[in-house]
Amino acid sequence: MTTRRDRRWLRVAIPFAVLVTLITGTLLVHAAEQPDPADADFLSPASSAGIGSSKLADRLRRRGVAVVRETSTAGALAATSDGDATLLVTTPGLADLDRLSRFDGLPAGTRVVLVGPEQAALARTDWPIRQDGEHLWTTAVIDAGCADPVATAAGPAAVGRLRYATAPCYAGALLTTTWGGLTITAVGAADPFRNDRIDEHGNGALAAGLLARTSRVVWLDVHHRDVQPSPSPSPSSRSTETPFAGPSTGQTPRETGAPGDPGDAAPADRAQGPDQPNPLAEAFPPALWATLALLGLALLALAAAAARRLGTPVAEPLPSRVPADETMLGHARLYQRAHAREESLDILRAAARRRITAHLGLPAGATVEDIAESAGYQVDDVREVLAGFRPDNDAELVSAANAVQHLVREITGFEGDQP
Amino acid sequence: MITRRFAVLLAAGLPLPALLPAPWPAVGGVLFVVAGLALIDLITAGRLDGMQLRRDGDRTVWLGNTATTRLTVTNTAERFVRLGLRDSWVPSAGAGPLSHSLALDPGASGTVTTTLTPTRHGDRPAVRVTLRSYGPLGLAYRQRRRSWNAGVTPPWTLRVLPRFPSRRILPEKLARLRVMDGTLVTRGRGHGTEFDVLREYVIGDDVRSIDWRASARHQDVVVRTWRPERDRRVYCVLDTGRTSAVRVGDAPRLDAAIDAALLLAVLAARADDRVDLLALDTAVRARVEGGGHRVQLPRVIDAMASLEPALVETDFALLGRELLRRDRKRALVVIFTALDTAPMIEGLLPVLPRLAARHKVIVAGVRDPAVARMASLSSTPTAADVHTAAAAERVLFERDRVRDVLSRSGATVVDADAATFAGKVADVYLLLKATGRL
Repeated sequence: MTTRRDRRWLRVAIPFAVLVTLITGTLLVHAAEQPDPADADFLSPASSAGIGSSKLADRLRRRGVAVVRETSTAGALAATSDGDATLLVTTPGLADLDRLSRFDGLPAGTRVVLVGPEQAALARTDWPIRQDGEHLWTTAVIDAGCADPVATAAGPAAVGRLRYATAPCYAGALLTTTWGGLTITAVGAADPFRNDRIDEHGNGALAAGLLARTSRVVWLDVHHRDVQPSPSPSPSSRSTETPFAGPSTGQTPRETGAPGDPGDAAPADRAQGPDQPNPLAEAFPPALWATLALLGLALLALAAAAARRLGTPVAEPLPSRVPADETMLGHARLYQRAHAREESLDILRAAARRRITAHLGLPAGATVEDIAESAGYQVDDVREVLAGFRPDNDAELVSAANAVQHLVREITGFEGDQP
Repeated sequence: MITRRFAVLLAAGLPLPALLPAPWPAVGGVLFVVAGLALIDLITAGRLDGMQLRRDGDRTVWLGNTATTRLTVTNTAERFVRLGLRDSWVPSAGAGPLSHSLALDPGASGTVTTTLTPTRHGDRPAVRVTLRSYGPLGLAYRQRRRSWNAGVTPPWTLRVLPRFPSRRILPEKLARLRVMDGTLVTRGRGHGTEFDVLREYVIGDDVRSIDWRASARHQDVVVRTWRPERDRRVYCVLDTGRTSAVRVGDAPRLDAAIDAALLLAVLAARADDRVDLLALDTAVRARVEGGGHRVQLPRVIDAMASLEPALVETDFALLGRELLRRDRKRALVVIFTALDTAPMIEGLLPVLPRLAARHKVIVAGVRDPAVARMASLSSTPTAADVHTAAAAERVLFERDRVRDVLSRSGATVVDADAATFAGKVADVYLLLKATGRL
């Protein structure tokens, strides 16, 4: 009985658990399927993986466009300094857009193509691009729907993941705007550039069309956060902290390109390499660590001292805890659950009849008429109470039971507990 | 093993790594010094092998009272010993204080006193005495395994006699017994059938009890006086089966039965009847038979104290075999049980006619007052209350039926709430005694 009641919560818990598992699993799979910009293959012209972009790079080369791969923002700035170039920013969230959007950054006439820039990345720039609404769960295929020649030539393409305000093409997913001599294009999704999606719809034509307007494409292929580090206090590092000074400093990060490395850090720091000790360990004096070790040992000794008991606990043979009326209450709940109103009332009426006949000194099988005659009541009244209607609901049952009890108490004159 | 003092000593060395120039050697030094002290302490701590334990004190106590036992520890080793000691009893023995400490010179002995306030009747054993020998610095101690400690523990069992709440109605019942006996009021014939003495007639005596033959011899009117029969047998049968394990109010049903049986036994002993006891479920759990009037009662009480309800169906056929042995004399058999339908109809009823033919049988069942309370509706009942009342009425009806069936088979049935149960049983006994039907 108790185990069944203990398991009743499972009826609620199991459907919810299944639902929660399904939703969580879907979310996890969805998150795992999303390409990660920090993945080295993501839209890289040198990668032939599904999320790479080697096919697009090959197509551009076949059309006579030079593809220059740069792995840092500083390198990309240097490579576009000659002018007449398209800068493809595959990971706007990781690239240093702030530096690109400065007035002394890119030369005028440079075309910038941003792949799926989110509002967080756009907020770091002065460019008049604003994301419109949240991103969609999947990329939608949209018709061009505008007069842009590249879009019209490409036709429907899978660009509809992010939308930008005031963008006419692809229902807002492709925005081309000019700012300070730059032509900036924001594409709403990375799908047109990916190896595994480039052949679908008009994806290839759109991507190639956007990039083939100039003779050179500078492909900014960064997969770690390429943000300018805050100035270091040491004067020696500050002297090398001017990446725009010349192309020589701009080339160095392309060689190292280690993830997590700020790229523009001082050469002295970089020389220490992997032998660099844990900075947390050096931040505190060894005396602190020694004290902590001693404190740990003291606590361990305290635990060991408390662990050994002076005698283990003693078990008690317990008596039974079953109350005498347990079966009776179980029956009562069974009647109630089965809505056995008639049966319950019959039992009460039979008990009342026994009590009344015993009180009046009648034989055991006395009829209602005998009882009414002996007690001095109307026969119909007594019959109504002791053999009356069948209760259809709980209210009728309660009133009928009350009437039975009142009759017994009136006839026997007994008010307290029954014998 | 180490004590808390060891940890405190380690903690006291905490500032040293910060103060000394070389922190890590300082940690090692603290550890070395403290561990060395603890090792010396452990080696100099007295051995536990030389401890000898002895126990004396109370063997029995009434439930609700407090008993004391004394544990004497003698150091037969050749070294001073500082002892930590824990005297473990079962929790229902209510033992305290939990731990003691003793300092014993070689050859000396010390005594610790454990106070026991039991919470249940029955046998409450002392389980284990655990010994621990501390070193002089208190940094480390010796303590042996649990089995070794159990081995050196002197066995001791405190028998807790059951609570006897109906003690307070005992004087009233004894007074009624004396009335019957004729010591307070002498009223002619009646109150017994056994001839007592002849005495002179006084006005008010029943003329029917005048002994004419004796009057002729004495030249005076002499009447016979009577008194109740003596040396009758009262056989208390306690059912310790599953129906005795359930709780009526806050105590097992068996406790109420033991209380009533105690009252009956005391009363019968005062009335110079012999009291025997049989407790059984599937086997005989306690049996007290024979012996003189005066020694019988303490034995009965002692046997009742150790009774525990067992979760088995009572074998009334065993009761039949016990009571129908050929050498049994006629007795008043009082069966303390529960008037539940199944065990009564299937168990007791088949053997009851033969029992009633041989003995006078009383079946006494403790009733749950909650049933009668639930059978009557409150002023504003709900449907659930009505169903509960119906279930309670059904129980009452079945109990009435069992009572009728048992009565028809020749038994006198006593069916009362736990509060009045003992008094009702005693009343039936007194009535039978007064009317000479024992």
